[in-house]
Amino acid sequence: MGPLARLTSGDNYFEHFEVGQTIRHSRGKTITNLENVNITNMVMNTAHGHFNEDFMARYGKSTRKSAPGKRDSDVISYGGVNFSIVLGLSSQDTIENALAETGLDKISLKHPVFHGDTIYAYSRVLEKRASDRADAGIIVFQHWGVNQNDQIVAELQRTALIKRHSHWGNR
Amino acid sequence: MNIEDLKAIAVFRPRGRIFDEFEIGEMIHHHWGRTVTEADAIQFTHLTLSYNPLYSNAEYARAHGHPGLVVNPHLVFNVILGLSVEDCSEGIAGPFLGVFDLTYHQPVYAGDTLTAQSVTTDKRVTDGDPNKGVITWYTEGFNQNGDRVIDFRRSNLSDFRAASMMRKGEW
Repeated sequence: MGPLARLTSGDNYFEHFEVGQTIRHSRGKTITNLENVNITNMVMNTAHGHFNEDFMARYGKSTRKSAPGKRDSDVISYGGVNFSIVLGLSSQDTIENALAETGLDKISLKHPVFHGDTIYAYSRVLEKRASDRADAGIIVFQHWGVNQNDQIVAELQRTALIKRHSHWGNR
Repeated sequence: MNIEDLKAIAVFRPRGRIFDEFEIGEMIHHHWGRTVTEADAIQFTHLTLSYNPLYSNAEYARAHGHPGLVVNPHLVFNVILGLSVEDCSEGIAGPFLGVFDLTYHQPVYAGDTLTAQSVTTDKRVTDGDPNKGVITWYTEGFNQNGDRVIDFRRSNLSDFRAASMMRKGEW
């Protein structure tokens, strides 16, 4: 194994994926101010329902009705943060050896996420095909984000150009 | 000045548009732009647990033909969406529903400056509830050279009553 290949896992190159293969990823992440407010603000998303507790305590009644439960915070985590964390939680098992992530599709935000909620990720290989280059192929993944109560909070598909072990496994 | 007098003379300055103010086909050039730094890229990558060394190891990225770290593409998405929020979704008072047909056209590198524009492509009152609607925009992001780096379609729900309250500052 060479100096590049030893930096990533050896079992998630293009050859290793099979259509239909379904993965439950090992880690979860709890959403807090650090994820939601920090990333929402750093990307200049100005919608204060994601970072104004007073506003959401007064105004967010319909959201709370759709997701009842006791919680310390009323702001809603921005959906882009939620599905980015699903993409992250699933990344090591799916795109760690990608040359590029080329697209996303069918992103559906199905349930609100509040501070204190924990997201877990599941993935399935939907498609596997050759690309226009010999050293890498294209995989389409379906990803799911699930909260601590087993509610699906986000679904999306990701397409990536992934290295072939035959060309990159010893570099 | 006491607070009663201050509130009596201050004129609420709303931000964001409401459902009726969107016209199909109208092109909106979004405000501000954003230069993405290496610190932004690394912080986003690690807060979302995105483990591909292209996003965190500049030497590894250079060994794959890049001039330096590749900015995590999902940060690019979130910056472009963030820049579009005030013009698109902030005032319509409803959740982010989803994204379709997202393509990452080319890599973004630390130091690149991103700008965004959107066209309103669809708006309709929901079948089940005359007080709600769905708006869809086609959004594109560009780097400082005018190269398109991303495009996607996204939809948000609008709650007309809530949007009207937000417009008046009644919360």
